[in-house]
Amino acid sequence: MTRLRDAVLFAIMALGVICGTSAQDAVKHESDAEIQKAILAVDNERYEAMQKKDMEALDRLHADGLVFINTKGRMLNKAEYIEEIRSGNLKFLSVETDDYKFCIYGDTVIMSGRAKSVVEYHGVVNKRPRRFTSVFIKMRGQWRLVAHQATLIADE
Amino acid sequence: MGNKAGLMCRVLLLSAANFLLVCLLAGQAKQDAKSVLQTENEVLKVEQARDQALQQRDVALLDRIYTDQLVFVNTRGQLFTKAQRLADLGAGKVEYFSYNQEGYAYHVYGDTVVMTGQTSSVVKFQGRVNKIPRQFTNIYVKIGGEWRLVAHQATPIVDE
Repeated sequence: MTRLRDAVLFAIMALGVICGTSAQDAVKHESDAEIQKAILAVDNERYEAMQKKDMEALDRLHADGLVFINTKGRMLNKAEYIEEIRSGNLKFLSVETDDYKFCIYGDTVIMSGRAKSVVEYHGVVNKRPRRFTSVFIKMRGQWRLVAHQATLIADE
Repeated sequence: MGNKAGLMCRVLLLSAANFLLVCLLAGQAKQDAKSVLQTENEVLKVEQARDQALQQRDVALLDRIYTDQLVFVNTRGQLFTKAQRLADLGAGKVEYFSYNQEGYAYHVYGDTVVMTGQTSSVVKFQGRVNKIPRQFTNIYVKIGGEWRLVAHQATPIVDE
C-alpha cells in the first residue's frame, strides 16, 4: 500500500515538473525586436553554413519538412536542397539582402526581403535581383527555416 | 524473501508504467495524424473560399481571410500589402479569365500551415495577361480560431 502511494506521488511529481516547464515556456516572451534579431542571426548562420558547406549546421537550421522554391519555380525538399549545396551545384558567390519586413505570429515569423546575391546554380550565374519570403518556426528552442520562395524581380 | 518481493513489486510497477506510456504515445500519434488531416481539410476549405472570392471579386470575404500584415509577392516579384491587393481587386485591376490550381501539399506545424501548389490560372494585371504555369506557397496561421492567409508568393515555372 505504501509502495502504491509512493508510485502515485512520484507520478504526480513528474507530471508537475513537465507542466511547470511548459508553463515557464509559455510565460517567457521575447519582444518583436529580439525575435527579429534572432531571425537575422539564424539567417546569417544559414548563409555562412551554405558557403562553408557546414552540413551539421544546415541540418539544424532547416526543418525536416522544408519547402524550398527557387527562382525557376522548382520545389526542393530538405534532402534535395542540402544535396545541391553539398555537391556544389548551388553556390553563393556573394550575399546581399535588404528591404526586410517581418511579421510575427507567436513562434512563426514571416520574413520578406530583396536579394541581390550572386548565385551559381548548376553552372549558371544569376545576378538578377529577387524578392523572397522565408518562414521560420521556433521548434524546441531553435528557429528553423520551414519554407523559402524566391521570385525574380521583373522590372529591376 | 522480503527483498525479492520488493524487487518484484518494483519491476511490475515499472513494466506497468512503461506499458501505459507506450499506449499513451500510440494514442497520441493516432490523434496527431487525425488532427493533421483535419487541419489540412480546414485550410483547403479556406483556400477554396479564397479562390471563389478572387474570381467574384468578393473583397469583404478576402478582407476576412487575409491578415492585416499580409505579405503578397506576385510572379513579377512585386510586393503588395493587404490594402494594395484589396484595392486592386476592388477596382477591377486584377481580372481572372480562368482559374486552375492543383498539386496541393501541406506541412502542418500546429497553428501554422505551409501549403504549396501549382496554378495555371489566366489572369490580367497591370495590362498584362499571365498564362505561365507557376509554383506558389501560401502560409496560413490560425488566429482567433480562424485560418488566415499571412503570406503568398508565386514564381513562374521555367523549363530547365
